[in-house]
Amino acid sequence: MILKILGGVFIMISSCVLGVYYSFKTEYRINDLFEMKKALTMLISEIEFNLSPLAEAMGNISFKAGIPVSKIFSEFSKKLGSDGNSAFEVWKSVLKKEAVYTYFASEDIEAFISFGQSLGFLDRQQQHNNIKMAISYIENKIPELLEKSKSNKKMCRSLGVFGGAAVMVILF
Amino acid sequence: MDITVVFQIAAVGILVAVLNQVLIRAGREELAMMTTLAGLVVVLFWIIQYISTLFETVQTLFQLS
Repeated sequence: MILKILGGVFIMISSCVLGVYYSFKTEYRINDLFEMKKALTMLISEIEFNLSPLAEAMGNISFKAGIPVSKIFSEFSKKLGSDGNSAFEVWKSVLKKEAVYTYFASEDIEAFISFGQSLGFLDRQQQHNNIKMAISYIENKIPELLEKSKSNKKMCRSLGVFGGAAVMVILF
Repeated sequence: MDITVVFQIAAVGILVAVLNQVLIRAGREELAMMTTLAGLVVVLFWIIQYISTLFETVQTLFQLS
């Protein structure tokens, strides 16, 4: 009996933690998108005003941006030119590898990959427009996610608690 | 018959009702429907043996077989 109660307590705790984790997931994604927007804005100023080469610009941004996003930029600046791949291939591979450590959804990754298609070979104005496009994707996405996170937060927490209780009752 | 199964069914009923309300409020009607169905299936699994016993009792009572 004590073992059953102990198991029930573990199930409740883990389901509650899972509910809370899922309720914060959208918020973490919004934070990551904010960081990405900040980094892309810095990339515009690096290209426009500092006229830095891509690898150097990305390296500079990686020092200023927040943690999960800065890793993408630092890896990109390290790998660019080291193995003879084009900037797009390097961007794509780095993004796919580092996306595991971020909260980006697959649609965000696709948007950033399509942004990378023009990296490194267009002129300044075109690159500027392309970065603006990625930023406008983020700007459109954030209000939508904020609205979603409001309703999702309560639902995920309640689902965690009541789902855990239901599993406990069924297994008891 | 074990009386605990009645309490278990009551608990599942309450929990499924609450989950249903939570999901409907969040606009996930299809998930609410699935939860209700899952609760129904679980409870049916528990009581299927008692239903079978009931049918057997009815059969022997009225000497149907």
